[in-house]
Amino acid sequence: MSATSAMSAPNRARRTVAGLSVVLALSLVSACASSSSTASKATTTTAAPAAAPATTLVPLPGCTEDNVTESFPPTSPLPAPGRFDDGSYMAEIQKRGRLIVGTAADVLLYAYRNPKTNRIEGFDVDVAREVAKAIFGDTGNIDDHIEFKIITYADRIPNLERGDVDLVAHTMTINCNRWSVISFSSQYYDAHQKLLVSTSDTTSKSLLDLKGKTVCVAKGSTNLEELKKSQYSEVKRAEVDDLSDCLVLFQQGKVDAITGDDTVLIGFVAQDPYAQIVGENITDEPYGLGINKDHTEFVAFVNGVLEKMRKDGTWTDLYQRNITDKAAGVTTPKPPEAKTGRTR
Amino acid sequence: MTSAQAQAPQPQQVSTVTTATTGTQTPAPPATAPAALAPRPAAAPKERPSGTPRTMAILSGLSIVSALLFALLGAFAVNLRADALVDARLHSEQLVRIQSIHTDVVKAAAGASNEYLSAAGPEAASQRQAFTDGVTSASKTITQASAADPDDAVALADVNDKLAQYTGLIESARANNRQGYPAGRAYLKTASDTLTAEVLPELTTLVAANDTRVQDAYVAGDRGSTLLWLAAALAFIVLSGGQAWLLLRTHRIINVGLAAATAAIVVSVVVSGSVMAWAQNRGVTTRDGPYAATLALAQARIAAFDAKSSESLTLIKEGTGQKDERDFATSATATLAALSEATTAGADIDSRVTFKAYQDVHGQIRNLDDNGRHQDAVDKATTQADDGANKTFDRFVTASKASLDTESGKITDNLEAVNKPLLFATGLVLLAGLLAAVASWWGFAQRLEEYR
Repeated sequence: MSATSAMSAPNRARRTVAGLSVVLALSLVSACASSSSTASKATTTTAAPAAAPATTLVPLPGCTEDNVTESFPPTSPLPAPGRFDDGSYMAEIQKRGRLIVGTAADVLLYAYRNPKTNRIEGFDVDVAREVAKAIFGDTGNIDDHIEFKIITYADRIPNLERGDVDLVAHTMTINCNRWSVISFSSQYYDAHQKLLVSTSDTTSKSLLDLKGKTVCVAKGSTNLEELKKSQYSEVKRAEVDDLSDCLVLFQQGKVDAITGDDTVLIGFVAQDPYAQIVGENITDEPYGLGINKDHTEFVAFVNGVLEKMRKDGTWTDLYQRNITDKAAGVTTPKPPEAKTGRTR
Repeated sequence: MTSAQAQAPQPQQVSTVTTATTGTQTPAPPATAPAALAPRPAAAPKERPSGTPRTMAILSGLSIVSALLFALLGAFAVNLRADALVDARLHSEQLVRIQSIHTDVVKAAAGASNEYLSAAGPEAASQRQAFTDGVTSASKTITQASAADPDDAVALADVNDKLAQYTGLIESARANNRQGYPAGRAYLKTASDTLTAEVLPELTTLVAANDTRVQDAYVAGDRGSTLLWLAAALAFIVLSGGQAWLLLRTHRIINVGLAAATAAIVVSVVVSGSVMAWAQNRGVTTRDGPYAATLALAQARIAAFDAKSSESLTLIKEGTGQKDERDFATSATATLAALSEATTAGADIDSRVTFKAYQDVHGQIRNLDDNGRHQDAVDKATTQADDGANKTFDRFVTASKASLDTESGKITDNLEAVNKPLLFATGLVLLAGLLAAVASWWGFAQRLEEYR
């Protein structure tokens, strides 16, 4: 009935649309005006970066392949335990009450902690125990007079230089580079760099057979130095901090082979029936006990202990107990000859 | 009535309500025709339909529309706030889930390394249980978290895979250790490296992503308030404008309908606005309080389990564990820092007290090991005796878990408490807008009728 309704309907509609648009526009503007969100910080832990010590050694002048295993003449006769000259390093050790030996705890058969006995066992540490017995006497438990300091390959020389350890019994190869910074006892073990491959690999016999494949090796070792030589340039390398990391990579199929001292490789084979050591000796690795350069009388004393061991069958006995009885396919060799012509 | 009658009679005035001040607005009386004295001008309908009634009808329409718009937009705006707070709660809960996965994983790692240290001794069994429990709990929570937010599902599936790899490596470590093979140590180290390099960073990223979503939700909620007030302002302007126009044209001071409509809008926006402000405040105090505390407590627990792992690894690696001892120091510092943040945000101090107690025991262990008493150090680190590292650390775990549960419970409670009030506010706005629309229509209709 109202005359106004019909006429204003289209107008109303128009106004409605216009009004709606204005409102929509306004809400769009308000939606766009947003304050920046302040994200709360999630704290994270970061591990401290590991320091990587780098030492470049130069060979001792006059040192050659022929005389590298020459050490100082052994003290003869060997002084009885406790009867050392005043001021000698042995007297110092005796006063301290313990011999500090730098060694490993994970090289099976040579220096490893036996979880059942919780003792560090192995050939290398038994040799060190003989030195301790010569200082403190063979009574009761010699481990009461020994502090075993577990160190990495790379820490062997720095520990000796700082005097943090008296002796390093750590599958340590005697070479001319190292002679320039530390002293060695006479050779107490004859090791060789060798190659370990899978038992399913029936063809590889040397590093050269592994061109295009990956070989695992430990940083800071003479084995790595060997592998860096030009004839092996086509062999891929996986470098690890600990040689035992290589066994994990090998068992996971991430590397095809491992190269290292046969001492360590024997231990790997003892832990893994699908591993085998193949081929010829890649290098000779004569082992010596590491001693600080300044303690020449201590080197002579240790050489005396080693000489006694060679002669009275202790060396053979230790080898038999630690290695031959525990690893397959090993026969007890003769103890390595001692060369003792060094004068300085 | 009095002042108007004192002046010349105004033929157009039909209302009995007059104001004393409108003497200036008198339209010019038609001087000629005595028909001008008629109370209802017959000539008026001929020009009015295109004048005042038309404008009135338009204004009526506008008022109704703006009231309805207020209803819809206002309700939408309150909803925005409500939805935003729901989002904030859901993402907070997801974040708590992911942090609990992270915690379970590092707890498992701590159990694995302590079990390794215990070798085959009697303490090993309970540590192996801690490892298994950690892995199982992590897997379960991964499933729950993937279902709760599919955006996280892909990353969580990857975490699950890597966790399976990690478990396999720990099994190898255990098998080798059992046979007395030192290769076990290398497996433990590889497992630990896998965790640090591949599993944990992914979880940290997921936590950060969910934290961002929470913060974004709070921002989105703020827009709701803006929209509500804008919608109200618009309706208010239109209605007030309508009332003012009516006042001018009809000389009526108040239009009941429009006044009622305006009142409805004002009241509803003030009430709803207050509810929204209250909800916002609730949200902000939750974010700065229990939410921040939950985040910090979880971070503290994660860092603490890392420290516990490092303690075992240092002893396993014996003299070659310097890096792990440095990691312990870093983790312990991070734990204390996070606990500080938590107490600042309102958590209790029990966690701090218990963690410091554990730090003291760790100091004793370090002392023993550094002085050549390695076996004694291992004993203190693996024993189930009350004063050993394990039981002391467990007391921290219990205290911090209690705090964490309390704080994360508050998040849910606080953010759920706003739901009903906001729903009420939405309803109020809708209702008020509808009522305002009806009242506006009625208010104008009354006036329009006078033209028929």
